[in-house]
Amino acid sequence: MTTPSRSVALGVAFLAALAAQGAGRTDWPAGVLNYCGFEGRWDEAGWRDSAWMQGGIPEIDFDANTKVHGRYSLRIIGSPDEDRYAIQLAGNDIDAAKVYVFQGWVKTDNVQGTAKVAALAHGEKGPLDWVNLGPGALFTGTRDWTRFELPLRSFPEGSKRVYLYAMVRGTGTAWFDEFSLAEEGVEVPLGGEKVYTDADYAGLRFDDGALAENLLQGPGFEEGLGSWVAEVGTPVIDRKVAGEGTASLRIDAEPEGRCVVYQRVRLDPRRAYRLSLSLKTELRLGLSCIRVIPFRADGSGFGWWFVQDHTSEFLHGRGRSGWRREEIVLRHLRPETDYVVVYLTLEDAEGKAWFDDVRLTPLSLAETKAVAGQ
Amino acid sequence: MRALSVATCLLTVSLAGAQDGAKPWELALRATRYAAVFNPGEEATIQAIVRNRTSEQKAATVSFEAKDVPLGPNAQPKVYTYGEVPVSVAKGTEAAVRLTLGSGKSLPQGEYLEVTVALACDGAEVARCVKGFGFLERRQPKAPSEESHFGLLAAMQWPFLQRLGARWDRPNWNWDERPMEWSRRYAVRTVALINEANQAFDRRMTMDEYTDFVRQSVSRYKRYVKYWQLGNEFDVFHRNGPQRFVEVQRAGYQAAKEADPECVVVGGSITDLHVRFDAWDECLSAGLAKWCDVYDFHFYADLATTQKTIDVIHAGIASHHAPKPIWCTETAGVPTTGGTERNKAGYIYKRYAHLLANDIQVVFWHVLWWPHFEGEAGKIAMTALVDWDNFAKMSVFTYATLTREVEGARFTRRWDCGEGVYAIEFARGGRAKLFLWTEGEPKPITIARPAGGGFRLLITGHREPLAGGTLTATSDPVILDVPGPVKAVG
Repeated sequence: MTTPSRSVALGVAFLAALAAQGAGRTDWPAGVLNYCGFEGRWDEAGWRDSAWMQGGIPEIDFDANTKVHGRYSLRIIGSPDEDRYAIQLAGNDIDAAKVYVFQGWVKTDNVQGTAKVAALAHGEKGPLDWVNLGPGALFTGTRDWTRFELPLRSFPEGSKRVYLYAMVRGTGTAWFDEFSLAEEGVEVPLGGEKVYTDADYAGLRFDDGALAENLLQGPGFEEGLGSWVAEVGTPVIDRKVAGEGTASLRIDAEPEGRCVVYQRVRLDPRRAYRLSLSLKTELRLGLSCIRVIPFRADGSGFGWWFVQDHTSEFLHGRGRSGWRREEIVLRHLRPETDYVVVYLTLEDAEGKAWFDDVRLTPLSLAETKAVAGQ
Repeated sequence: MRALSVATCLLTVSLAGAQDGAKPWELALRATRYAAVFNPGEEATIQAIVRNRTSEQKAATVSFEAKDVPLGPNAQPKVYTYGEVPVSVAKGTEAAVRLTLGSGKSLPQGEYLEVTVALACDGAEVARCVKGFGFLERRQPKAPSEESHFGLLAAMQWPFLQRLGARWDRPNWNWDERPMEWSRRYAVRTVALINEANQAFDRRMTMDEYTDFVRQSVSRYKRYVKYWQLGNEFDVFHRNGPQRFVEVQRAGYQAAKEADPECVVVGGSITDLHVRFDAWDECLSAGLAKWCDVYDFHFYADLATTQKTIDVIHAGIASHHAPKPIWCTETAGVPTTGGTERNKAGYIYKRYAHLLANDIQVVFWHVLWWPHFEGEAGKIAMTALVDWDNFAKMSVFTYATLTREVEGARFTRRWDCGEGVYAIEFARGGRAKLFLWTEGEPKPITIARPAGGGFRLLITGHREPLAGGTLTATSDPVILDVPGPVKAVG
């Protein structure tokens, strides 16, 4: 099993994992329920061959030589004795009142019988009936790559999900490529991945000529917590110990205790940012850190939560250390990022940590390209 | 106010506008400690959140009772504490009420308890919540994790893992350093699950990118992490799967050992092997034994299918002369995502007894807690020990009782009591720990054992004296703690 949670480990059975994979992906354009390029591996977008429980058969396989796009297509060599097919096993949640379009490419070689694409509607308790896709879903004989666009206009009563198929009934060979299921009117680019334009970026737009020195409010805690919010625990404004100015934020830690102070910052996701602070620690156990977690405008996160380098934790404090300046550059944010939350945190530790002059500084677009290695 | 325990109104806050169709009153419970599991002797408290959405009536009453959960067919729960408190909640506001359920002096320790909280207005009940809670001590580990059989997918709540007695965790590997430090401090061994192995298998990542990541990860964090697992639930069912799987294991193993020759590489997990048993022989033929230190499987099928699968695994190892420790880094109840909590809790005893008796060295239960997803993915929460609201399910106490009773024990024998009856004996310090249950109809079982006091440990964690030598095996497994070794079971 695999979960997109950041803190819960993976696992559950194979098919359940497939079901989870069936959920909409963020890198498909909005309105696309499924996209499969048949890129050489099963389970891509939830697709499986009908013979997988027998270890698969060479007659249902990927073909690197005959394809529309990408590295492979799906090739099915038919048999007079059985239907051979691939199925999008995870299914797709639908709104039966909407119209969807099943699109893709098919090529056939001497198919005696039919190569076809199909969609099976399911209700709450299982399969209901095939969706009528019309004669455009059937392919016979020999033909070069042919584009199909089949509307799904009418579903059996009680339909909740639809499962897609690619099938050969009879002899001959059929190739299938670049399958998608999308809401009517949604353009699906070849390759399936969303092409970002500047308008697709969330958040704000900063001008290179007028970049703020710091997006965080009250970075030095001179005015108290100000825009910072104590999510849990009791942080202290320390007016006797300061790295810069006249105050700092102190967290007194205890085992199993938590103290987290955060600030939400809207930003320009096209840019890199320098995150820095002054830090002093007297820790007998545990680590302090700044966590940075990006969010979409609707408040949803990005699955694994990591910002970069496989982590969301930065600028750790440990042991005993006098005031020092620490910094890291956050090189890349997803285009959908509307805001980040910056957390100053000390959890399940023993001792004290002081935070001061916390800064989140946008870089110019040229600097952003440079730090991203472009 | 009538109360055996203290109930205090803490605060009131304004609510956002009520939505159409919302009930006039709502009741929610909040745990004041993780999973509402308290230290023995500590006062157990929870918060009741009373929301008045639309009622013009301000006055309401919160009442509660805390009781045990007996499992016998006719057993009645015993109410230990109860109380009620009036609250005044104006329309559009909410109030938090602290309910003191009792302490170690008034409530049983180490077993699953339930609190029922009811909200009444004008003498009529308008809302009710039932949640689990209880008391478990923090157990400081006395032996290295390597001697423990007990893993849990958790990646969180380290002190709570010590209450459960879990000694292994298997987080999705990332470079967050604090969990590594906690893992070390709380003596819960991390088995770092490197999902990039699956990406390499699927060619979503190049082999070089994958091995670089393994090398960097091991090199950078070997001071924290010794055990590395190369991927999760590979598709070995297609005929080209085993070859590709072993190739990914080889590359990752070499990279990990380059970075830390002392590290232990747990092979990528194989799940549902019964789908195609031949895959195992194909993995071994492709050289899997050379590229891992531990074999790993997930067992989600019923016990009979699991037994067949384990037999195939052992047979394959024997025929290839490739012995290595076998782990199970995921297992859960049957059905995995359905059934009752009582059934699931029972499977904690069943799975561990059955797998340990089959020479599986470390077994990880799936899972401590599961996020609140919609649809199919959300159903996996059935496997969790703690519910979405962070209250304990019965299985918290099953797991804690299991680890307390069996940590340091060794499997001694499985008794033949007829089809569908499981009697699996472990030994520790002169006492036998006999797991007993039936997969079919209840069956009377007679146990011959040395003289001396014995106990029966239910899946709730309830411990009761064992009277006489005959008892009925049911689908609710029990652990019999008796002077050992057992002489006969039949």
